[in-house]
Amino acid sequence: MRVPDSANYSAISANLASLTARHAKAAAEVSSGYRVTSPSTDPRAAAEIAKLRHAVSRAEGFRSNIGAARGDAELAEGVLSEASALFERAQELAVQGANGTLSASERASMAIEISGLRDQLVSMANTRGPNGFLFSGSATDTVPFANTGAFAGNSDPHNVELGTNHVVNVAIDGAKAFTAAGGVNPFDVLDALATALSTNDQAAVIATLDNIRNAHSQIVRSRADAGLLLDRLSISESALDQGDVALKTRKAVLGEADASEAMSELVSVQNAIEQSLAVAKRNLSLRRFEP
Amino acid sequence: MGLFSILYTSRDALQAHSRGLQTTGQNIANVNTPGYARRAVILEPRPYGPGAYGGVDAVEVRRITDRFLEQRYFDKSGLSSSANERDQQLAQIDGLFDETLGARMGGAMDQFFTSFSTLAARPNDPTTRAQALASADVFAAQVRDTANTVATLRTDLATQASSVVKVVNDLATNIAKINQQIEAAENAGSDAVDLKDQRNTLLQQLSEKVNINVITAESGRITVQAAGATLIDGDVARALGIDVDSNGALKLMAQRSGGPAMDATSGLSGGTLDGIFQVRDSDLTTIATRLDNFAYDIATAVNTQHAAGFGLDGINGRNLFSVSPTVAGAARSLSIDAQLVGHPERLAASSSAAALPGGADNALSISKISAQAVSGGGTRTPAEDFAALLGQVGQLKAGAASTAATQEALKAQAKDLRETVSGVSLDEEMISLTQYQRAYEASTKVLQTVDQLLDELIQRLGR
Repeated sequence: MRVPDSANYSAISANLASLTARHAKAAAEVSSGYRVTSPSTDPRAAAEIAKLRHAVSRAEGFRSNIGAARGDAELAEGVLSEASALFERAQELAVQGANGTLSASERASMAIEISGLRDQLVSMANTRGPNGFLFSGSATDTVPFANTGAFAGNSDPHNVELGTNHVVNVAIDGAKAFTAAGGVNPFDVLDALATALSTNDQAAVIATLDNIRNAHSQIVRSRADAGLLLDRLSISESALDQGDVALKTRKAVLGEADASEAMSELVSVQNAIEQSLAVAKRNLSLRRFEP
Repeated sequence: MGLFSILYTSRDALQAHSRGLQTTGQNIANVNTPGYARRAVILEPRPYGPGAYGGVDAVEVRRITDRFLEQRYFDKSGLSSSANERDQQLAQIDGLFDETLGARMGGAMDQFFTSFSTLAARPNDPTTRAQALASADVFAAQVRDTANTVATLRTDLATQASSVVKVVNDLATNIAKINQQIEAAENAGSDAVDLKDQRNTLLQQLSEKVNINVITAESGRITVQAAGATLIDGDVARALGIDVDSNGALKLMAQRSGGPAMDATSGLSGGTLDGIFQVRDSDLTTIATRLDNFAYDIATAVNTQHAAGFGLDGINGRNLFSVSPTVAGAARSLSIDAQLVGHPERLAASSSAAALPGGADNALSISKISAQAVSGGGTRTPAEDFAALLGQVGQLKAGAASTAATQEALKAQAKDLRETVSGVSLDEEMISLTQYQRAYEASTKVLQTVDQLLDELIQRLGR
């Protein structure tokens, strides 16, 4: 078979072009750290990476939601903790006021303190968080409790996504903590105690003791709910962290270059190019016609 | 038969071998000339006998070619050009969907759904609302930009097709002219090999633009069919043209002698033109349709849910996105609804007016659409649909690259095969050079010998 000179050149040229393309691919992998640098590099992997990226992005959103819910829940727990302490003090005053040896003026002083505690409780129940009033339900810009103790909020749930198909109600129900919906109306209980003390009615003071204990328990239960919510948020966050590691690992396995493999390919192709050039040089230097 | 006749024999031999040397020199000089087919001097013995002094005659300088291999090369060249064109054009689309270095359409979609999840957590926060509206705007803009880029590329390809057709028509005109010149030269007794080389070079260029079939008649006259339609008939060139059908697809129109132009699109199977047609009216149409479905499905699902909710102003029934009423053109039309532009407070995060301003169930429902099978005819989530679209784009490009590589190899193989017949081999030419040189020297020796004999004869006769 005849081998024309052009065949030699085209073979050298084609081999070098093929090696140069491999070199460019290997160099791109080494320098970028990515194996899948475009959808066509590995269409199936690129499609899976897109789904994983979506999942990672959603997880970041869920983490942000957890952060927001945690802020509100921690604030609510703190407020309810103070409210609980407030009722412990009210209970102390009620027990003292129930003592028959107390004078009317002493009970009147206690009544003034109870009135102060009540004002504090109204203030606590009207605490504002970053997302509006903490205990007003969905009416976040409405002051939930009037000085009378009348409730202007609602018990609407506040459902938030903490994971895929994982929605949690993160609302701290103000009605359950501070109205009769939770058992007793804490404001009414304090009002009754203040009235009994100011009127020096020992029997009436004694009669408020059970309700004060109930109101205290009610606040403690709400505080426990906030604590449980915080636990739930932490568990959700841990689950997200674990899932995140798995997602990112899978994404890296699919899309990132194996550094040692990529470097090895780069070196191997570089050697092949050098050898190919050496062969080309030898081939092209054949001298058929002596001058 | 006398000594003088041997002089004639030597003269012819010197002339024949001199032509051989000349042809070898021509071959060596054109070793790197594209389209050059090696020449060979065809030697024939002259009659020898009573009244004929014999000798040798260089009857012809022949171009060494093989029509079958030439046609095969034209075929492979056309297929390779088509595949390369498709590969190069799809590279732009592949890049459009590449999210390695930053979020584009897919990332914007992820961010859009995530922002509504965040809005559900902070429905009354103005910053969160503004971010949610901005992310919807970015998503719409990314979808729109992607679809516009695809549409622009389709428009550019139509222009490119017209340019290629113009080149084809120019080449056809030039080949027809050369045909005329070849015919004239051959009628004048010339072998016209250089003109045939020129014609072959132009035919190669033509085969890169459109699939051709070269038919050579006994007389040497050639007819060239392009995409199945006669483009060149001897010295007459017809023209190709580009038209658009009712669906917006390109049509290749071939001028006919004495009749209306015919649609030759179905005969198109190679060349740059074929690559352009494939990318424009198959690949890009597929991608554009997928994009439209993707945009329409998401916009419809989101709008339905959004309209069910209430903005902070207590009004419901608003769409979040403005989108075309039909799937066709949905991606290019996607934008934020005019009522929402600049009004993040109108985002319908709440599912009821009573739950305002902290109600967030509707924002949650919009966020959850990302996990619902609202795309692909109710078979895929938006993220799965985008991944499928991405995979399809990748597969189209990867397939095109693979086909281009295969066709390039087949073209190289066809070229090598053609070159084994027509290419110049310096080794071979070196041998030819020596062969003709020696024959020339020997002929000179014969001439010298006869001269000496004649000289001796004259000397003896003169005494």
